[in-house]
Amino acid sequence: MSRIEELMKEKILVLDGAMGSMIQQYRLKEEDYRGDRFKNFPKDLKGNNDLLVLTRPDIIKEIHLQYLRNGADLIETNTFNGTTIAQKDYGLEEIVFEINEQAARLAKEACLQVMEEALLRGEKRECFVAGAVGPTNKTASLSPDVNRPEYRAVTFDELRDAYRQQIEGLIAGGSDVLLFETTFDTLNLKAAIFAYTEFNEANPTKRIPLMLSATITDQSGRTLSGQTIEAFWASVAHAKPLSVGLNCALGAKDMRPYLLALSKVADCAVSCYPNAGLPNPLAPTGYDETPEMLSSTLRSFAEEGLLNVVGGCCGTTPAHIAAIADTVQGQKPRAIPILSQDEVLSLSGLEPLYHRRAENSFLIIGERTNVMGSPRFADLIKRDQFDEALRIAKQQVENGANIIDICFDEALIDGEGSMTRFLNLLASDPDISRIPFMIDSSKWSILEAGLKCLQGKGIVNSISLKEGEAAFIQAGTRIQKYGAAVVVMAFDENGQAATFEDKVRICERSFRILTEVCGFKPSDIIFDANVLTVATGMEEHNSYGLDFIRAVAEIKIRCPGARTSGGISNVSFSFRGNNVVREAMHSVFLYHAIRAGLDMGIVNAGMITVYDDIDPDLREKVTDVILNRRPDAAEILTETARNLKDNSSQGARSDAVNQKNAWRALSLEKRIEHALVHGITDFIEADTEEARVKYGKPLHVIEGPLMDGMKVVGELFGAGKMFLPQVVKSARSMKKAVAYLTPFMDAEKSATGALQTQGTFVIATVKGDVHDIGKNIVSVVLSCNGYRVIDLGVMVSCEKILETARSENADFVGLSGLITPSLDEMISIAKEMNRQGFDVPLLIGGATTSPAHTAIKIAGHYPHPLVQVGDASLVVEVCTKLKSPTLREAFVSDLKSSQQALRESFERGKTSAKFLTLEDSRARRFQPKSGFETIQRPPFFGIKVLDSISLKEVSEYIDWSPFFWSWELKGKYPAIFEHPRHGEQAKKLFQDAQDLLRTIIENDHFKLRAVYGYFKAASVDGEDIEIESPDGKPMRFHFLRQQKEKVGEQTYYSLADYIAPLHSGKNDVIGAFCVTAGGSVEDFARRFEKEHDDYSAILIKALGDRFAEATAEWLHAKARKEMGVVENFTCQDLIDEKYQGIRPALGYPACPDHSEKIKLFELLEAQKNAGVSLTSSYAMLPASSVSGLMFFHPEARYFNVGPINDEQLRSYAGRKGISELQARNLLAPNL
Amino acid sequence: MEKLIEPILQEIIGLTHEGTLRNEFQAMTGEWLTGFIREVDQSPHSLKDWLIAHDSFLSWIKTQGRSISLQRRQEYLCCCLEGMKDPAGSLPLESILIYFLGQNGVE
Repeated sequence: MSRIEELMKEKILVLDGAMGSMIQQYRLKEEDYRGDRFKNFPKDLKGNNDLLVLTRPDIIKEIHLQYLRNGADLIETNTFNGTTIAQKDYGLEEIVFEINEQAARLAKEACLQVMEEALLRGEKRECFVAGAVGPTNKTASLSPDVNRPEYRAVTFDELRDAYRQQIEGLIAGGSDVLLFETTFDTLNLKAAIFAYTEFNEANPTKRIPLMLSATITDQSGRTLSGQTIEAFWASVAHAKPLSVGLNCALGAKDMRPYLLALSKVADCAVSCYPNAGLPNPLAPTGYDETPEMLSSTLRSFAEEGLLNVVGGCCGTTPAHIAAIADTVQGQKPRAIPILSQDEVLSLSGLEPLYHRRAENSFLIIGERTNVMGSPRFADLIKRDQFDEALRIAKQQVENGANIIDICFDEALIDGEGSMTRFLNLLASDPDISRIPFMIDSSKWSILEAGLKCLQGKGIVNSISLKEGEAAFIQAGTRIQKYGAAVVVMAFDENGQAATFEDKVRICERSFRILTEVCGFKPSDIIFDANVLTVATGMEEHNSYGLDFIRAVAEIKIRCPGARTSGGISNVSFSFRGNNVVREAMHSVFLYHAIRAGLDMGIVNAGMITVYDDIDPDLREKVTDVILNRRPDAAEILTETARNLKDNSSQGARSDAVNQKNAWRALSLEKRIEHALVHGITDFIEADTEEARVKYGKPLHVIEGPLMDGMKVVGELFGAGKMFLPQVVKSARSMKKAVAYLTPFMDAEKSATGALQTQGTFVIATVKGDVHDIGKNIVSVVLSCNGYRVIDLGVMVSCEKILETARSENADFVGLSGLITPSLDEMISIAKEMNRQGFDVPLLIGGATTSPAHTAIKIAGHYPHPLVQVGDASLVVEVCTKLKSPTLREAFVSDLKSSQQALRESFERGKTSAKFLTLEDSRARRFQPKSGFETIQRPPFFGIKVLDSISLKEVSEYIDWSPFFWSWELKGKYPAIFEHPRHGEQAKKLFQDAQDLLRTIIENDHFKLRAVYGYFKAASVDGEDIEIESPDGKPMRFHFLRQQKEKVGEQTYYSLADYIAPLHSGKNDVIGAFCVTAGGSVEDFARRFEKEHDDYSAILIKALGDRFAEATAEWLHAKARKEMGVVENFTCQDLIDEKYQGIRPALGYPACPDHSEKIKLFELLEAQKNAGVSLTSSYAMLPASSVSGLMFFHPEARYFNVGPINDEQLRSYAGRKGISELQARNLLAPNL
Repeated sequence: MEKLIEPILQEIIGLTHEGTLRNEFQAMTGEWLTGFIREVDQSPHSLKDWLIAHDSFLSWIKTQGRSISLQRRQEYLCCCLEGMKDPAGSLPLESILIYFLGQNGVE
């Protein structure tokens, strides 16, 4: 470990400040740049600051000394433009090595001088030289010519060679570390990393650590070449740098969100050296932030635990660095997270793509940009119609491909040239290049040509042991240098693996070599165990499908962390020409393979039939073939195929139920209205087609009978005659009709824009929060009422929300959040909206929001209408009033008055409730009557993972009341069915839920998982509980105590009271758990979303939540039993909490600090064991998850902590080891 | 019973509808009063805050020419508290009540 690395663990290192602006202060002339040596040089040299290390080394050294004497631990060499590429402008390529070497030497001299000065004063200083490598002035992934998007002004190889020379010079001159900085194009940086790796291979004893720094150029939150910071990190993490960070372009405040994002994903140190605010020509430094202003912001970063290295960029001076050094002194450096090496496969295009093992999500790899698989694509390439070929790529992305496979292996095509040109063209279309690419070829030269064009982290398809181990190792090592993941085929020296045994054997061998010899992360290895064609007529091919599926399951076990993939369409080659059968085969094959653990597959995105929609008879026969269930399966399927028409996907689906109802005899317009009002989809397309013919233009159909029908829905809903579930069902029919008309509208070139809407509504669940049921309902309600809704989904950053609002000319912005940390995010967004000059209404909703918080904490930051909408059913009314020229003024006036009244109440002071001192409330702690005599010994200490939990068994524990509340039907189950107003609707909703529940259980659509454990525990320090974690180390959970003076019972509860105190001599036990219904809930819901069936999608998510809660209930019952509690309750009794003991969730009334979940998750290894992770706001992902602690004391009861005072806040902060400010943020709702 | 009612009666003194409130509370059963005290203690507000809110509620309902029972008022106040989501008691309960009466009225 280098000395710098050691120091980073002890303190925050201080980097120096700007060099360029310091040089400017010397007002150098041309002759200063020339010196004697270049007196007669034929080109102007003024401005070539790097040259000054040769011609005015005194100035450069003086600047270094100033920074060092003002507290910098690390100074950068004056070599920002020290490459042949940059120096070409001055004609000085030939002295590049010398410039770099001399620059490093100069910086080293300055360091040694300052260290000596310190020694003479009796102090110890350690100073280091960072060899600075700039980005050059050329971009490898963007064209400088808009008319030639495939052109590049510099190649990867040119950059690599230039960087190699610079690195050699910097290291020869004595640099302690290399700093590749101000990266605006990640491909440039990858070339630099490649050069660094090659240098280290050739000179292993000269290796020095590497630091990387990117530049986010503006409020888009992306680099100049278009990557988000997360995508950037995915692209360069293979360099295993000492640190990664941000510098330049932005001031510290603006850099914060990106720094926060980076600190969450980077498992190395993090650096930040911002500009001194914004450019200001009137300021002495040209930038507007003083040392105090900049250091104050950086101090808050340090307090938040975001920094390992800090400094300044443009506009900063030695005074800035002195202020920064002073402010971070004594602050703890950021704790570097240890991230699992196999949990997440990180890929990137312009945006990151994370594949989390535990989520069981399936990635679609689009197959149509492959000359071998797509004759159309091949034809376009051969005819040099690359622009048309781009459209194929775009369609794949629009149809849901997560990755696209690109292949040019064809004798008549220039593979290397085509790959380079196509990838360069793709890079010019952000809609395509946002996703990662898979470079597919059997020739290394074509693969390498592709890798040299990717700024993102792609996948190489493929390598294998076909040519032996040595060639395999060489290929693997070369791929690693480019930072790509790799597909490994199940081939070895004896050929292709066809049997289950061979597939597993070869993959296991490949895994061992790649991980142990080449150093691959398991998650970067993707095995393709060869999907082979079945039903060929040859008996030995019959088990190919089953062998692949079995092999996938086995490979997941034998090669932990590795992913699996396959070329799905291979399985159905025997039925070429019969798309109905082929699609059914792909769907069935995927269904079983995904259940076995298949992570991704190369398919035609957009041609995947929904499994349930396959005709049951066909599905049965196809399954017989895929799973080789009978010897004559292939014959039967072949016969069936002959009889089936070769229709589109619709033909493979089950026949629609032929309802003969009276309403079918109504007029066309009335039939459409009926279908919409009743949410019937069976005839909607046929009726829509009839309307299209009648009305002539598809737009007239939408603006006519469809909108008329939805208006009726809106009126009925507004009148309370329809309820939310019905409205959502109506939306399903509407969406189907619009989807049917869209191709006609495209063809007529009368797309959106001509469509009249009530307005555009941009809505999102804020960053860090994952809950979306309420938001989805609001989206549907608004759509039904003629609003154009742009739903951005969950965990959406402020930047994305506002960027979309601006680009879509939003009339309204809506924010949703369920957990309390989301409130802070909403405040930030309101502030940012004001800062950016927005004036549209902002609507706030979600379980955590309230009129009070909105009025007191948010509204003051945004001067335009800001409304908290507590009920989805009210949103239309609010929007209508805000849009109405006659109603708006009165509405806004009332709104502002009521918010003002709330704020004034708040200012006047709160409740008159008094607080006990902490000491007094502790003296009145809860003391159980039974003491701690009944503590049972648990069946085990440590954790247990439950992977196969029965859906059927858990479904008995579902509490149905919250299910109805999520649809805004108030009442308790089952009494709600008797409700005079919405009892009938509740019954219908319940019936639909039961039908879906049956499907979920029968087909295992949800995967319930749990991890739980028992731990030795003791209460300490009043409100804390110390437990013994599985590795024997103590871990402490921090809680609060009730403090508000009571009228009645004089007991002031803390959860710690339910555990025996440390020195009581009792060995107490606490339980912990985390359960989830898994990412499969989202996946299942998505299938319906794709079919425009929001109703079923929302039902599924609501059921997912119910299942998560029910699993927690089931698990708690199991734990009580294991702890020897005897009970004989019904499930309803359990729902009514009649049992002994409690299972409080962290973040809720008895323990309001959400951040305690971090420890819980660490204790249970929740991500690894249950596939549940935490977002930046401590929300659980997947959303349908529940976690908490289990207290087994018979007298344990739930309670609210309620308000606390500053005395307890300070105690809490001290015990938890955080600043008072941090504690205040975490406990804001209780203060 | 006396132990439950005494602090309530103390805090009622001086309120506009002192007489009405006294009669109302004295008419309640021990079980109801226990529940009321528990709701007060579970809330971030003091007993005085609750009683002031009840007093204001009576004033408001009087302007409507209507009447409303103590139990119904208490249920309404509990709903207001839940709807305002103010666990720290940043706002006086009376203000919360007035806000919701203004927005929704009462049936």
